[in-house]
Amino acid sequence: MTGAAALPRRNGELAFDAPWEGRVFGMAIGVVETLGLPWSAFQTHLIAAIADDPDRPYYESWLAALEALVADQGIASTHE
Amino acid sequence: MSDAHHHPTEPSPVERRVQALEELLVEKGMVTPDFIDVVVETMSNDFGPMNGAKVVARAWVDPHYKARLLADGTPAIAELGFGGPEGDHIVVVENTPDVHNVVVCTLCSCYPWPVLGLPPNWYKSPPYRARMVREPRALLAEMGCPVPDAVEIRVWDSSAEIRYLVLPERPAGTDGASEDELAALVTRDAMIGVARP
Amino acid sequence: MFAIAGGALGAGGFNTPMFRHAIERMDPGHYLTSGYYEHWLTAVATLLVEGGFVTRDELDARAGPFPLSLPAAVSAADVDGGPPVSMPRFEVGDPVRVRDEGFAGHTRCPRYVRGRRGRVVAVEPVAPAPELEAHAAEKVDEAVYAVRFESTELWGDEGGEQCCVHVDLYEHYLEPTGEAP
Repeated sequence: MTGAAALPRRNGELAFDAPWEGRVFGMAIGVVETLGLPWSAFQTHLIAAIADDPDRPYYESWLAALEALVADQGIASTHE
Repeated sequence: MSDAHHHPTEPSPVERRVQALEELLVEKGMVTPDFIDVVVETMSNDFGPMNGAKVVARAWVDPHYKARLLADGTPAIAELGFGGPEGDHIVVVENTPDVHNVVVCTLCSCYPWPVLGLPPNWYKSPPYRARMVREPRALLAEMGCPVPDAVEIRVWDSSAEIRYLVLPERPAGTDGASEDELAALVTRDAMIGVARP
Repeated sequence: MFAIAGGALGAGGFNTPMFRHAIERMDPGHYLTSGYYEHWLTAVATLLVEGGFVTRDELDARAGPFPLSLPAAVSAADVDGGPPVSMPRFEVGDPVRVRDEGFAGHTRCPRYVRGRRGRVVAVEPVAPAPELEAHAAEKVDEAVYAVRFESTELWGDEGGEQCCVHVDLYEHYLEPTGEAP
């Protein structure tokens, strides 16, 4: 599941610029679904991550938000 | 430059972090790799502006459907088989000769996934998010969508649960067109409000 | 359609073309054990059963004995208006002012509307109030409003003519104001 050939397309446009973006996107959806949280719970972290570093590439903020959510929910500590 | 045949590109730091996080979450039973694959596939194939275009075309040809769509977007959109995450509360706003609507999310990137797919990079960019609420007429002109001074501009900032979809004006000279032909005229940008069909 | 612990949505669950309305995606088991939204959950579950979307048996199988304590006359309008704990304070047409302080921690109130006056144009479905602090003890549903702000109110002379911005704001961000914006 790596490499340019695997990049997803929709109407001739890429849904994600790189495979890792799709992975971190899917992970966020999965964690929220598993925990039975509303999507807004992740969004709160995303909003904070973007505000924290507005010029950071979008999906890197997404990754930071997911890491914060995971830590916040006690799934894993930041050490792991 | 690296020789791709013998030295595959090293993962970047962010790719390593994503991989590590995925391994950890799988270990903890939070996600499975298959689930992630399905999500990526859905966002790539099932969700996209071709869905919204069908909704718009239907509203253009069927005044009763249009009335239902404007009264309560989510169930009307569901009539065509579309719905899902970030589409649970969709409000459709109609462009008219007197009113031009445009959508933004100043806080992050909220966007009606089931009818438009994932947002384009410019929609998520700090300049778009900051400027559209501040100087919409100038920004729209820059983006190739000049709006005359006499036309009211309504900006919708998706700051809570509602996701907005713009119903563009039906172009002139399309009276005989089929729904499929009409749908082909509707662009993602028109449904965000930064273009006209 | 319900999320299953362990991360594996039912095969094709996320890939199903026909998704249902938001209230059908709730996982009653999680919400019950988490202590959130109990009143809303009861109202929604009743609506689901009455609407034929799920059977009582399915709910019970997922979450154990499932309280459906609302009277049969509950309607969609009642559910959208929110549980008894939070009746909407404002109506369409009300002039309101956004608070300009007290926004500690995570917030959904964009900075550019703080302290500004607007008018309610829509009352939206009840939503869980965003956390004001990282570990708020209580989660409460409250009404959300689409509030229209004229551009000149937000940006003064720089604000364009014939421009306005609508922002979706949680009730506790708003105060009544006597002045029409």
